[in-house]
Amino acid sequence: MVVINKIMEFIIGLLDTLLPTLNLPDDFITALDSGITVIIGLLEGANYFLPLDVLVICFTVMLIADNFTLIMRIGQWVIELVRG
Amino acid sequence: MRKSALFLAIFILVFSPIQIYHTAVVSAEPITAGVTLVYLAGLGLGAIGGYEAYQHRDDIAKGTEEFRTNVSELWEGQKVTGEFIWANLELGSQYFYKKLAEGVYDPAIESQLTAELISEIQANIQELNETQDLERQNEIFMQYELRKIQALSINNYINNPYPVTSSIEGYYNLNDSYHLKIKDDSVTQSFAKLGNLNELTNTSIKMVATNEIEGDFVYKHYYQSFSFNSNYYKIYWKVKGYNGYFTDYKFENESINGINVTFYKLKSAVNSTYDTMHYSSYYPSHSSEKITDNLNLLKDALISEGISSSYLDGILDFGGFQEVFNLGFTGSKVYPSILNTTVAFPNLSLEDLQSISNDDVQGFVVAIDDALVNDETVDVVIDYDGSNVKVGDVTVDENGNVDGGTTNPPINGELTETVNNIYNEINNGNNMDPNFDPTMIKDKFEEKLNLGALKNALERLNNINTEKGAPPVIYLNLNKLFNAGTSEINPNVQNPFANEDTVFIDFGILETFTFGGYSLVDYFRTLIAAGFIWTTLLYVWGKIVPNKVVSR
Repeated sequence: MVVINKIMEFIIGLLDTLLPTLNLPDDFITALDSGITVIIGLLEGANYFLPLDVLVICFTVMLIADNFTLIMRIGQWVIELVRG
Repeated sequence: MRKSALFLAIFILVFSPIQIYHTAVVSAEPITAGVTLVYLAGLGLGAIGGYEAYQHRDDIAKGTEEFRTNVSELWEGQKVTGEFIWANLELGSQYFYKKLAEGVYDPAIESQLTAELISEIQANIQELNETQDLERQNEIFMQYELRKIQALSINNYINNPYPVTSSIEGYYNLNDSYHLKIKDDSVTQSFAKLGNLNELTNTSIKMVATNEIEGDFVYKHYYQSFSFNSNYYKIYWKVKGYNGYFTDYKFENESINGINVTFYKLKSAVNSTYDTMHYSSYYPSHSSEKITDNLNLLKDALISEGISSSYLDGILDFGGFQEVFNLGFTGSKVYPSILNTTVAFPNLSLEDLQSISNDDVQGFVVAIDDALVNDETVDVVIDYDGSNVKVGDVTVDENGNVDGGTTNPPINGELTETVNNIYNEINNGNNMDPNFDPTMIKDKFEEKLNLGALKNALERLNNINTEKGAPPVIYLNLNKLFNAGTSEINPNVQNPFANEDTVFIDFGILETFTFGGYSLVDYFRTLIAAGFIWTTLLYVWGKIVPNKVVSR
């Protein structure tokens, strides 16, 4: 659950920073809050039966293997950008 | 771009349900079939919604047109901004003169100030209406502010037997970006400590970003700095993306504070109205409500200070604003208590503030709480060396015992004195007003402890046991289920169940099946994880070493 936890932490942290600046109604934010809480609970429940961390890592590896050329090109582009 | 989006939409709309349906029929998996049904139902609902929108397209167009008209009216309202502000300022001066007439001030000042103010206003209204330069508008506005302070301090000098900030003579240097020039020695000293205002706000950051003023879109992103002398605080607000400062004053002297509160309210309301109107061109959807809210606050504040509402109506009758005013006047709100919320540490950087750990803060808050309730003595030591760098971490427990980070002996004293000493430490020996309100510090500290908008989600996330997941438990409320089934048919049927959650499935029972020290679920998870990893490896291997050559 560590990987999932970190990902959720990132997303929720981002929302937590951005949402108050948008002047949204409080009801909406409360609903979103409880909704996300439910989703976290569901993920926790699912994690009891399936190793979601391993699943996420495996999918990431597959994605990288599928798009290896693209990722390499992006990396080269970044390197050239940095090098000037 | 548009073609590819269209293609994607067609693909999603047409091919994926076909594929799902095919999979469902061929493999006959109940879950996939369920997903297909839900998807098709969603498509149907979307089609119905689109049809409805098409049927009512005239109404929608009309509503859009109305919205646009409203927004453009508000936009045009910006043209009377200057007039509006000056009307309000004049109103404030009227209140000032009213107080003068009641004998709060020396009547000798009245005539002098009246002439000055009126000539100033008349000269500035002209310029304010002509110029589009926001900075210049704000400058004029602040000049008026300073005039008020001047009047107040002169009066205070006459009426108050205690030494006060006498003869503040300030002006805003137009080239030097609102640099204040002050004659009084003590004031000069405290300002010298702060340095040039430009420098203060740009480089040596002594500001804390906060959300103090509620319901205002602009002030959500301001920085503030803060200085004080023996008599009043002067607070500079820097609004993000705006080259100007907003000033506010809080007088420690109570005799003068009551009057200042009114001006503060007035100015805040006018300021925020002004800014809302300015920013309404960028954020139209926020504008109308905010303007009416601010006008309400302004009106409420002034009525509560004894100004007749008919007079207000006369003053505020400009263009479309009366209409906006009347529209929004139904729901008045309590003016946010902004007076006691602005505190920052002049000589502390933001990093220093952040380096205070939560333990420190909690200990400090507990100590202050106890002292406030029991009127007890607390020992608090925060040690800073001359370079304003925190020397050591300090924790204060519930009994007021200080732990760690002390090179100086603890200071014993009353609460205000203690807070005073802390401030002296922080301000490097700057003299602190003994009337300083400690609750302000407490509020500021507690603000650090508050979580953000998504409080529940963050707490839930923090409480997850990442080492080993907890077995999920599914609850049922039989009472609600029974009600849902019977209420439409016969609401009078007695409900045999209590209104509480009953455990429906507790997966914790799986933990009872153990083999070799591990539960059944653990074996299951390990197997699945191994399967995932094995599949991934096979997939990647198949990518690297394809078993057939693709011909072109």
